[in-house]
Amino acid sequence: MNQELLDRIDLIERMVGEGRRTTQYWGWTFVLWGVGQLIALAWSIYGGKPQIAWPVTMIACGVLTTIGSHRMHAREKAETYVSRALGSIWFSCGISISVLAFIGNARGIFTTASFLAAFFALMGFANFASGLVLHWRLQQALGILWWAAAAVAMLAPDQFAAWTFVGMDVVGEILFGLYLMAKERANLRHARTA
Amino acid sequence: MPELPELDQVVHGQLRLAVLSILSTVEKADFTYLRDRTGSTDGNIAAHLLKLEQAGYISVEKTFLNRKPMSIYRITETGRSALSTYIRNLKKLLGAEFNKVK
Repeated sequence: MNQELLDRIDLIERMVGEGRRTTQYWGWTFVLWGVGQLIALAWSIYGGKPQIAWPVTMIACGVLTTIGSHRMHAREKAETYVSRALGSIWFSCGISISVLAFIGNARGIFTTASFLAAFFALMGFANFASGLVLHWRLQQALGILWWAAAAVAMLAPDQFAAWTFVGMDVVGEILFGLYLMAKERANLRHARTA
Repeated sequence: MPELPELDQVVHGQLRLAVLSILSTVEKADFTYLRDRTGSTDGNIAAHLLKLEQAGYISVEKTFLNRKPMSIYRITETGRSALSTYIRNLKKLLGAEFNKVK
């Protein structure tokens, strides 16, 4: 009897773990936005019509993210609370950045450094909050790194803020996204063989 | 001596308990997801899902995705409360067993 009851407790724990295992994969979005921002930066410095470089690239990234996430939702067999929490954090963060970028920059109320400080702080918020939801120290550390970059953007000269942006784009978005994609692929392989 | 609690037999079934545990952590899940996560078969899980539905512990929504029929399951408030009571009673029973051993 005792063993049967203990087996039931073990079963509940295992199934709760199964239910919490997210079926969504978001590493590609970090890479997409990271690369998109580098393209926009390069275009605005070296390309023609630099005034449309950022709006065009960011809208393209937004459209690709929307298509990709819709396809992922259609394939998804269950919606977990974790995936909804993470989706809410990043969607809200994306809207906040868009409002600041499109309206704030169009009205010219930001300097490069002040806009980057706000952008870094929002990225810090989204990464740290995601790290807390997932109990994932690496993403919490990444959130702190984004916040540190926000402090640098406010304290250092403007030119340094732009280089901080390039550094954070590569480390905090492209490299982190590639790492996440490799981790997700390994998890998927593990789930298939389990 | 305090009376030992009885376990809800609808929840106690292994597959039904597995389904309720999964549904308690997700907002909704479709039939194939539940079948795959519990390692069950179509016929077996369908019978247990029906039993849980008849008890009012889960609700089902029949829909179509790309013209294919799809059943989406959710845990109800009654089901959530039945699972909580079951876990509480399980702990009480195990506690009593442990006390007996001591």
